[in-house]
Amino acid sequence: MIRAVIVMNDKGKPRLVKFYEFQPVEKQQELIRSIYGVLCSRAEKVSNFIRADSILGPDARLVYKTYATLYFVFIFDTSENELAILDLMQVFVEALDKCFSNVCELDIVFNFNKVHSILDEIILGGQVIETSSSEVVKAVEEAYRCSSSNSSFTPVVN
Amino acid sequence: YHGILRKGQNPLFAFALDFACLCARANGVNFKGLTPYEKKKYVWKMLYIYMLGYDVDFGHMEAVSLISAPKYPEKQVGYIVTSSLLNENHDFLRLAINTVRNDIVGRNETFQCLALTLVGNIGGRDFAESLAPDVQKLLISSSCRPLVRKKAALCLLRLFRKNPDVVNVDGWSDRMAQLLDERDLGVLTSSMSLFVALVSNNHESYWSCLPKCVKTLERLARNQDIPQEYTYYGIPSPWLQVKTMRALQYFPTIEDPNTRRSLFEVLQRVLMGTDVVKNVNKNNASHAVLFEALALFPPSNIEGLTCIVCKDFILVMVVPWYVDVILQLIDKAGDFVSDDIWFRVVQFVTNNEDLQPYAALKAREYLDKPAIHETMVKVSAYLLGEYGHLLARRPGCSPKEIFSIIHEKLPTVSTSTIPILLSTYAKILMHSQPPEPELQNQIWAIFSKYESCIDAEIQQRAVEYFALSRKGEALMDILAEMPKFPERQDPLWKQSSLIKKAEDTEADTAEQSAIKLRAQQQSSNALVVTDQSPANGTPPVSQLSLVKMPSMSSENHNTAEQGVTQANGTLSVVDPQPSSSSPGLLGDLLAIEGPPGVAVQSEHNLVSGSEGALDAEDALALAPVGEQANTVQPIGDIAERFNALCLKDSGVLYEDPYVQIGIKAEWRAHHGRLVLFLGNKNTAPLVSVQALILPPTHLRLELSLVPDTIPPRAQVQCPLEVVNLRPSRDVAVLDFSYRFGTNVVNVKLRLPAVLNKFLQPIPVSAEEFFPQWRSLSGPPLKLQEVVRGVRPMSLMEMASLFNSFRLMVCPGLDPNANNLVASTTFYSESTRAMLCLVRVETDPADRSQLRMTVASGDPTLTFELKEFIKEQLVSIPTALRPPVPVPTPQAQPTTSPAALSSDPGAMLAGLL
Repeated sequence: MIRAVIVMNDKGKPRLVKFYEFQPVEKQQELIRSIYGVLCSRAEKVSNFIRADSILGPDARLVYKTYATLYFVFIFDTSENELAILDLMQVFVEALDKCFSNVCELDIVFNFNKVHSILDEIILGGQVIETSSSEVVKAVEEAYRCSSSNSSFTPVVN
Repeated sequence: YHGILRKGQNPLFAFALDFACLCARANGVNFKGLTPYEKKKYVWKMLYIYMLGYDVDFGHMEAVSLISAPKYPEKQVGYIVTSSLLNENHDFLRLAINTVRNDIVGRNETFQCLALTLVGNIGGRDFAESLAPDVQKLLISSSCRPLVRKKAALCLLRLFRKNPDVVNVDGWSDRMAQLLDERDLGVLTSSMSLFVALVSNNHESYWSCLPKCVKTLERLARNQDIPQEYTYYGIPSPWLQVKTMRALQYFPTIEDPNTRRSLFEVLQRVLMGTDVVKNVNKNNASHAVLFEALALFPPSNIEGLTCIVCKDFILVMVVPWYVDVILQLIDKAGDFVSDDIWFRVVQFVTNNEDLQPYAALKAREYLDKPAIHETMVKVSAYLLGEYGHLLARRPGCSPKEIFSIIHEKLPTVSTSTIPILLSTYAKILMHSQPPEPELQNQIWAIFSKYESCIDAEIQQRAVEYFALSRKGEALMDILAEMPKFPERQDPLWKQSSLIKKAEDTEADTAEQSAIKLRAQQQSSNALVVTDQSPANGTPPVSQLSLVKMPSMSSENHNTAEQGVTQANGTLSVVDPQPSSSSPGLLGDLLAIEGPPGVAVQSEHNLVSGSEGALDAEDALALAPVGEQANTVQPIGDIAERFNALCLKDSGVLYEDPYVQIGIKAEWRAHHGRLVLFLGNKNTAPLVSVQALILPPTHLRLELSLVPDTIPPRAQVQCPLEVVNLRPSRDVAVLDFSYRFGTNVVNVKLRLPAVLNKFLQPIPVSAEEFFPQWRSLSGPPLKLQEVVRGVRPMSLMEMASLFNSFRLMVCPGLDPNANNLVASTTFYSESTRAMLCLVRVETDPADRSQLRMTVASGDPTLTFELKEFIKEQLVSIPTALRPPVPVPTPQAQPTTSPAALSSDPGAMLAGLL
């Protein structure tokens, strides 16, 4: 199963954190810090796959990909195919891109709720639910249309 | 709120205060009194702060209470924040069960989805007990939309995983079979995940679903009824393919012949259809499917798999994976694995040093299996013979243990395998130094037993190994590790088509140029064909001139490359005319008047092997030097820059109006790390950038990838690793080319990885110096020469010159004030750290001559160092050097003439 999805920027600030196995907040932060430590010291032309046993316990794997200023990180176990996870990451980013047309870090910050909805349409309980980015976007848009009367809200960031 | 305020953490504090004030303003102390907008805002903020790493231990109740809000925006916040903040054992969750259940059984699909998502993410026992039947109903309901059903499938999966005792799945095989007939791919994907969980638990109950899985795969492989939005870079839902294959892996066999045949067809389609393309995402997806297909391949049909081994893309793939797959293949279906295939593994491992310990370890692991195929015995024995010693420190991998486990297999193998085992024994014997008498006797006993074997091959090996192993040293030489295989000589490698493929796809991506670069480097005798531009309008002497790159492993000049050998033969015919007529950039080319036929022929062998018409273009693509080559003039004197860099570790190596190449170096013992800084000085990009290193045989050089394009005003850093193998004065050359507008520029630059960089000055006291000096008594370890034509300089100047070359002058050692004594340590892989001593005796009456004595523990080092110092004393810069300083073989006692003529890199460097 997929254990966690983390999006963070190149300064190590988390932008989206979703754990599919409960972790106390200190542990989450420790993980994010150590993952960031690994990622920012990695050379450019090396594999996107990292064994994460030391960070997340036995048979944990980590796949990451950099999009502009953001690291997308998926943590999962051996029951998943690494390359397929990489595809899935692409689906996630495509979905974000369709939702926000030319998604950037700020979109993710200011549309925090929508990003969560998109992720919930792709992964549920650590399992993949949908792999078509257009289906994902359709579902999210539909849900938000229901509530269009009151949708001007965006969370304010400190 | 005092508890909250005391927390004192900054953003949390501000937020808590804000929250408290708002509540107070609304109606005293109650969250309920806030407007829906305010509630929503504060709960979202809470999640955001939580994500930033602050332990938000208030407001949980408020988040949970939002779940029961009547409208979507608040409800959504409640659900999402609750599922992120709370875990399954949290008390507050129980409060929400009723609301969640109402949402699940209710009519509002959006609410159903939210509720299912919450349960799927954090549902625990309480949820399982009260909700599982409802969720099951939703999943199989025909009136529900796919949107809801796919979530129900995964929700059920979560409940089942967490509490298999609570969720009743008896009799689900029929329902599961029905679900696998689903047309909607979203529902099918999540159903397949559920199915994998159920099957992994108990595959016996789900036999009826097996044909459905195969049917799903067929549908995907044939791309039947797959909506466009589910094809990912042209591949029908790779994710579902992977999941389905995962599910199939849980079934040990497939009884039904029809199903088996269909599956085989699908897998074959996957194997044959997978290819390497330009798009990285597409490659990822297709290889994800391919890997699962390989894992799934039924052993009975394995012959189909062998075809894959020949496929080019393997070369591009992760290498250890390749070895794994082939070893697995041999293990599972040795009968179908021809010798070609295991030879290839061996070749692959031999040519990839990083892989050797891994492969040896794998081989060792397979030997532990109770019954292994004979081919596996062969591969394992070979690999352990060659690389077993790399495992020495691991448990169960001592020479003795490796020997005994291999020897155990001997009675079970046929005569064709015995010779391999004998070789392995001999190699084990060689690697166990000092020899263990017991092991040695055991192995000798085996050799002598087979000395009278009826099989001639076995007999010969036994006799030879026995005789050799008694000689000790000779054994070492003959049984030394196998050199790398020249890959291009193996028609099965199809390297040519790889190169072509890379070119076909307009090799722009870094990956492709990496392949191309690797391909060029792998063919150790790659030819660089240069289009010689006529200088001063005179007709060109020869259209094509061949520059042979130095071979990285000089062992492989053998029969298959007659064309090249022939070129080698003519190599000594150096025609000085073209180089002297254009002394600029092209002067440094080594022009050979070879018959054009030879050139084309050898090029043909190298690059394409099929279409001759393409050859000329291919060849030109390798290193184009256009007509305008000499219109771009370098800024500053290249030779001066080089000489300066020989003394310092950073500076500019080359500069012209478009590009500047800087260098920065660090040296430690026999290792060096240079960084080339390629800077584009203009506002337009530099394209077709190529940097090749022409290394002399004594240096191992590894240049990291150089990008094809340097953006405007950008600087690219390319690290270059240097390992000094032997003492030598030869110089590495950087062959650098780029295109700017219509200008194609190609320059060959000497790299300052010169002998003195591997020196480390060391002070020596009189007590240390004299015994050393005396113990190195004469040639070849101590050489003396009278040097004439020395640049006039004072003794002080000479001392500082020596120091600048890292030869440490030791004052006071020599009683004669006109003499100079210096010491240094030289580092190379073959000599390790070696002390060198130098003595210079000058004549105050005639400063143009001196007598120099150099001593070290290595004859080559002594000679090279002496020559090196001489060069520095006689002239800096190189103006006084002969125009074509072809090294004279006689002058070098340690290098044979043959080795010299086959190392044109050195000659090329000499010409610069």
